[in-house]
Amino acid sequence: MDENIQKDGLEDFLKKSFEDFERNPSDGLWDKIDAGLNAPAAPKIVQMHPGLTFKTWWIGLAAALFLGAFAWQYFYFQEKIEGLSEKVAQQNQRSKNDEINSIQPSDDLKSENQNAAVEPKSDAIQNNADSKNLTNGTLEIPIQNIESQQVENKNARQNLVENSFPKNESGQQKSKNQQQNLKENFTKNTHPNGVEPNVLNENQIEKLIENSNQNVAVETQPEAQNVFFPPENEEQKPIENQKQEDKSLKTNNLVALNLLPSLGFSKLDSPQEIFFSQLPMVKPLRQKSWTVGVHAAKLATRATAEFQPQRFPDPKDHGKRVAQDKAVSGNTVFAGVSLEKKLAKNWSFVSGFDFREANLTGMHKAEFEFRDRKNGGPGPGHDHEHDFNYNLNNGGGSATIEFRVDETDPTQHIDDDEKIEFEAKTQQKTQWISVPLAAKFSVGRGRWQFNLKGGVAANFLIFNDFTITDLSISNPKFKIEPQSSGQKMPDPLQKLTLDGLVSAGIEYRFNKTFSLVAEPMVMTNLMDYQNLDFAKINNFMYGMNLGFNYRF
Amino acid sequence: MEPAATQISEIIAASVVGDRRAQRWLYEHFKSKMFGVCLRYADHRHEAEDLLQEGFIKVFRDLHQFRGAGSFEGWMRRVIVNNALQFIKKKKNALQMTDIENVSWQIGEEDAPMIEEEDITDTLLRLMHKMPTGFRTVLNLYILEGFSHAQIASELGISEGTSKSQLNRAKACLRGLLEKNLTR
Repeated sequence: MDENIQKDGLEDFLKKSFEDFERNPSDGLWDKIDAGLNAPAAPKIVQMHPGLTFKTWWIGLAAALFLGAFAWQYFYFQEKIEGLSEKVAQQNQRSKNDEINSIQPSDDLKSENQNAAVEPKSDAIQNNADSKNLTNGTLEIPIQNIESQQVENKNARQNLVENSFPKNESGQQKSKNQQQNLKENFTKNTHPNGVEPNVLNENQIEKLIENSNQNVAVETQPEAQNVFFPPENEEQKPIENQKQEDKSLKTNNLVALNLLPSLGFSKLDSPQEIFFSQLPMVKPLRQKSWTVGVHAAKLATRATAEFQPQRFPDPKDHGKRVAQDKAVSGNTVFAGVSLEKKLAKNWSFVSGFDFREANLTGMHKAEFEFRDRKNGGPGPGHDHEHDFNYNLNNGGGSATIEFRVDETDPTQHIDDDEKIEFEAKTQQKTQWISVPLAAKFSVGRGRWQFNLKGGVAANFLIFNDFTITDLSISNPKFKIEPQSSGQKMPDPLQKLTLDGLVSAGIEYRFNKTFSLVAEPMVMTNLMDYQNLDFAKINNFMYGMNLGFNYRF
Repeated sequence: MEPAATQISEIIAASVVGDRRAQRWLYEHFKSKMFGVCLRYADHRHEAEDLLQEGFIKVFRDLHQFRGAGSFEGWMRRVIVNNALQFIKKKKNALQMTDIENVSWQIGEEDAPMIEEEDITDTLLRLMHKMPTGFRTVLNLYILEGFSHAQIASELGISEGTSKSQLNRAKACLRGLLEKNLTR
């Protein structure tokens, strides 16, 4: 034996030692086996495969977290970008208004100039001067007419600011130079065609400068005062009163104007400071890009089992018969809330939270012969009672049902090949929590909009009940024992499934906020609802989804 | 006297439809061989009898799945082994990685009679019972059942590398057990 257990010979030694190894078990073991075979196995429920595994849960959870993080990041940066875009648009608009403010004279000045021979360079200003606005004592310059003047005005203002703050000047000299530059630049800017410069006398120009400073107070909001430092000797007037007093600030874009501070150029060192100091004053206009809604859908549903012949037990095999027609049908109802985020002009991302309930019924037939009785003979305790096993596999689930039949006439003779057809009616109720993830494409005009939506729905099973509601037998020589019906089966369904969904519908907008949606939709399973390796279950649903949306 | 193949087929067919006499015949005919298999996987005789009982019940319930493609004994042996593996996998930490250091090398007085006085296979069996379950299972499957490491990995839910390392340790363990106990 020592040689046998050497390194290379251990395996052979073991094989030879156990080659014909036999030992007798205890004498009473057969009785235990016999009792085990006689143990009531009815209804024997066969769960072909385990349901959702721990590993699957973790993969699903990780995928959900990844998608959630991705969606959050996308929306977060999308909103940031939109906000910045709005600010830039506001800034551009405000720049236009600033140009208008910089050339608007005061009421006093205008009244003194009503009879003066003022000839603005551009047709826009000339038309405006000729209009009733001047005769009413105010100077209104519509934005749309001032475009051609803006480039020149911008240059003028640039020069105005730069010339007003020459470097290395004392405060007094600086102020004097500032006023002088203002006079020159304003005169040059508003009378570029060489109109008599003495049309505006010294006092008028002084008032113009004062008015320019007053405008700072008029349009500077409380927060902005800390930035622009209004003149110390000037009383701060309530904003509302200031607006009423300053009629010269009428423009066609009053909303934008109210959002903007005036140019406090007497305290600013460079044009760049104007831009950055004004940013906090901008109130971005928010687009309505989020939509919440409630909806409900009713879908006709059909579930069909396609069996893999190579994996499925032979229908003619001993003792068991399998019904191959496995379709179940019924209705699926959805109800829930939806959340929609507009991503682009025509595209939106849609998600939400649905409660989903399906009620499916089925009728299944299976053919037996009398010889297919369990144990090949009558049931225990009675010569005229017979047990059968019925392998029921359908779109709702799979189970082995054991049932008992009685002979209607105990004196009759029944051959082994006597045909017996059983019919089982089933009812299945399932409830799910469903989370759709879909992309939506929308086009439309006015109140009507066409929507095309496609995506997936993750379904989490929360309830499953499968019942044999009726079991009947076609052969008049037999009758089903009442207690054989109504057996329930365990939950053979996956805890997490995935459906694909497509819908095409219309949306009617009552106003900018509320709308009504009606969309026909179809759904089908992307994952099997059951984890069976011998059958594939196909679910198909179609119906109508109705919803009510609120945009904000 | 061994029954003819046709006789076996008839007995199997009768067993499939629940003929208890036929089933009893099959049990009596194969119980010794199958009990020997169970003894190799179980920790002790009582556990082996439980495995045999459960195994035969499964054999009779699944008998309709036997297609006659191979030998009936081979098919029955596979059912018995699968049942034993399921039992082992249910045992907590039965298949956890074990090192040789954890093995109790000496057969105690209470374990068995002296080696010289018993059949060598019984001695081997008792030494295998001294091995950790993981060692014994891999040794059984690879050497005595002829499984590949890939099959073992699949059956036990471990990696092929683990199967190989467990086998090497099991063989070293058994070699050590034999050397130490042969000198008594």
